[in-house]
Amino acid sequence: MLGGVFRFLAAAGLAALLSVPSWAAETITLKIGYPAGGGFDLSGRLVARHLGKYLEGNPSFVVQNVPGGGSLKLTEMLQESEPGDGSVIGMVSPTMATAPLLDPAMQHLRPSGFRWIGGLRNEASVCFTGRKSGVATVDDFRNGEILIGASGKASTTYLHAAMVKAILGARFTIVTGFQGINDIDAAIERGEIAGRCSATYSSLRSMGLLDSVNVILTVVADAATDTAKVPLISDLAASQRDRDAIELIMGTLTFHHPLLLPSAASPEIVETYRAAFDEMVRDPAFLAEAEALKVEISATGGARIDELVGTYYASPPETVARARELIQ
Amino acid sequence: MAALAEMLEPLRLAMLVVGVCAGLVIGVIPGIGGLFGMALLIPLSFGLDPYSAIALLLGMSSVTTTSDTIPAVLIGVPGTVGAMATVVDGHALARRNQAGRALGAAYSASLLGGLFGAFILAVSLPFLKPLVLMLRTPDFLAITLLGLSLVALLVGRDPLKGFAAAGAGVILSFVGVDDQTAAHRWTFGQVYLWEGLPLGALFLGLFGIPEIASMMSRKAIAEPGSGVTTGVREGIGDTLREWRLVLQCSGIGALLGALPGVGLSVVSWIAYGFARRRRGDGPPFGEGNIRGVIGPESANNATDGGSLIPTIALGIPGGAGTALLLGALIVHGIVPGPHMLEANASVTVAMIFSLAMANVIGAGLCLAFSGALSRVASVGSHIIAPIALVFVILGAFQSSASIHDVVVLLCFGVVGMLMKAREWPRPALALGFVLGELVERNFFLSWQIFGWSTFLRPSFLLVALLLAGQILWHLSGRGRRGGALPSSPPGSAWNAVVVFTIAGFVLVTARDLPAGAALFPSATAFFLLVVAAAMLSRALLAARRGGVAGAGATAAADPASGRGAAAVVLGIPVFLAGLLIVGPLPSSGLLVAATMWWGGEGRTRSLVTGAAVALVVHLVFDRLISTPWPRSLLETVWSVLF
Repeated sequence: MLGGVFRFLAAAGLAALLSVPSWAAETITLKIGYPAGGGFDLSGRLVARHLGKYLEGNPSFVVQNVPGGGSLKLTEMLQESEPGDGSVIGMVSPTMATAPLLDPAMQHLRPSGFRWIGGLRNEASVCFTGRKSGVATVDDFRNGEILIGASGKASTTYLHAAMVKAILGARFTIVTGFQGINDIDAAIERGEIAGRCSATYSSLRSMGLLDSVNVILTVVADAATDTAKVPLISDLAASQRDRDAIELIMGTLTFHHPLLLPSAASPEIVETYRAAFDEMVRDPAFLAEAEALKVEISATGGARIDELVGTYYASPPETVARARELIQ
Repeated sequence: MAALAEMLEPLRLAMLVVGVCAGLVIGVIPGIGGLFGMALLIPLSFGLDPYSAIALLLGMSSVTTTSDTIPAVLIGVPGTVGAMATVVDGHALARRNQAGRALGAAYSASLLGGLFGAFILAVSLPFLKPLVLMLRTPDFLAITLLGLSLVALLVGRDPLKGFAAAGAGVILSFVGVDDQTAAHRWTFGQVYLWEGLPLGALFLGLFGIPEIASMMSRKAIAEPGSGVTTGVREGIGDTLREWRLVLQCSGIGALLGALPGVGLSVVSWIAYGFARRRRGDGPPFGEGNIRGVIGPESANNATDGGSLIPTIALGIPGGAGTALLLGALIVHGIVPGPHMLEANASVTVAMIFSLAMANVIGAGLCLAFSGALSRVASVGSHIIAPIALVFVILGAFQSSASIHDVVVLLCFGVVGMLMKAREWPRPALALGFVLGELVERNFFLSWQIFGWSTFLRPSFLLVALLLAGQILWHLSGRGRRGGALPSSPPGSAWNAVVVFTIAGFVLVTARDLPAGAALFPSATAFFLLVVAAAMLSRALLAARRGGVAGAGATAAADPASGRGAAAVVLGIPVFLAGLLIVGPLPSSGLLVAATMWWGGEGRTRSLVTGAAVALVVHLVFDRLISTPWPRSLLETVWSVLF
């Protein structure tokens, strides 16, 4: 009997092996630069379920997580080694677009090597404090000797807090080392720290938390924060140079959760994907699923991203210097 | 209750079973953790209604700690981090041809532990919120420190080696980019190391490779002449007899699981330590005492229930897995949090029910297969070892889908084999690795938030007392038993030299780091210096007394084990080469087939088994989890030709 089982397995095995080139052209791989389960992963998998419909041959997508260095590893792979035939696309942090400009350690990334397909989201990012903290207004936030939580020094929780602190001339202390947003929020709940930055307004709203936190200010505005009259950090900046620097740092958030092709991709392939992306983000079925997942789509096309990034690189040196200072 | 009726509907139960099966598969294969399963199943759950989604997701996450026992017992490799403590006595039992008994005891303990955890969850939910909110970051620091100290004392007969191994593990955990200062600690310019050494590859190397190597030098997993095969039923009987231990360890698991940051690895060791307090009728711990299996297994299943407590009560996830679950629930319109109990009592009931049922079904399925599984222990090692090796290598590759993972596997495989041969406790190193960074993180957070008053908190004083108590008990125990048991071998002075070198290297290289980044590594290195000094003085004293300097009691090098070790160590680069040339499927198949044929199996059987292994690898690593394989030479040629 065991022999029979073996024989069956062998036959099945051979059949599977022969029919499976995992590199078949009908499957496209979407590589996500973050681990499974996070925000990027959610958006990426949503795209994977829909984008194929707008490409010739209706290919199916397969998602792989390639985390490392805050998507730096994947960005490097896309620039150096991934094939440009359209069989691989990636999703990395939008901050990679301006990383060579703002971060001395990122000079090896080529600004001209990014082949953007499009960005999915454009969300307001706010700083908030817990109800128990007693900090409710911008002035409280500016003057209070409070603790603001952040994870690593390279994370947006830190960058936004540092930038806000420098612009406002605030006196709060940034506590670093939390493992993630959940840990920071737990500490806020316990009253150990007062608040944090880099919170998406839409997720605060969808989780029903707007009643239990004080939204102090926003670093990127959208319709919702305008309606709620949340102060915008740019308005609180002292000089035009500061405002320009803020735009340089925060601007990439307008094309959050962006898709891109490897640097080796030809202009035709880039065009094909951009067209498919534009169609996808207009499709009601896609938008409906996104809404069900609480993923707010506010898309930016690849050409527009190129334009935006171009303006950042054309910034005068004083602005760039001020920007680097602000995120120190 | 309406919720219960909902959950008993056929679709829901079907989803539960699907989740359980997925969870069992994920738990069995070392290197794939519960997180992966969650990430895979969560999108599938979007199309379902909330109750079915809960059944599916909780079904999966509740049982990974049930099936992880299988590789732990059979090969000595924990399927997930929670089975690490089970390996010690569980694998020892398998070597004595009592795998069936170990598995039977483990599953029944898992089942009872899981049910008890669900019960505790149900009962304590209303009371726990104020309690959980009372804890502060310094308290978590105290708990992790306690966990670290426990393991060094628990495993192995020589506490000095235990401390040294734990210290080395702690230092290894610091490799990577420091969150505090963004300084690069021992990354040697590799982006790969920015996030630190990968846990999966390290564990598999440290535990898996030496066990496979030792398997190669035996005829089978079970050692020859190890007596009558005892069965699954006896194992179940053992668990029922030790019901007090089961309840105590489940309690420990459920309550500790509720504390954020504690984690499965610490819980299972604490439970093991607890079980060790009484030996019972069996052999000494470490040689197959069934209590050493029952304790950790009941605890780690109860932890699932425990970790749901902060998730449901506060909306704050107890760990990464529950964070994913939280996200999925929110997508379904269920917002866990303080309002959960009032507004969504039915959902809470559904979750507890799923947890309990999943444990029952999972344990039931595993028990049903236990008989067959225990016979694996008698299968020839030329069949089992290559199969195990293939899965260990592929499991390590899952860490970051990079060739470097396999390099880490190889390096730590060698380290693991050396440690095993020289009787250094590997679990101490593993736990030091898991907890080291956690201790540093909690320390800096406590420091930034509380400053000096961190150390004045009651939790710290309690931990200090417990620690002092442990040490005293250990020392006095040794004094009392001094006559009956041989005291630990003095060891050679070489042990001290090794520790001195590690400590010295760290201290020298840490000088270039900013103060915040250098603090903990340097402190640990100083601690290692103290340990090394103690080792040296002990060795010198023994030499003076015994007159035989440096007579480290190493077992005579067994030629067979040397060959087996070499075979395994060579097998890894060979497989890697195969991966790069022809791809994962042919490599897996060929490695298994070749080893079987060389071991004396017929050609057909070897090829067939090889094909079967390749099929399973494809199903799991291509279909279930899409693994980003490196582009093989064959693939490149193929795409050029066609």
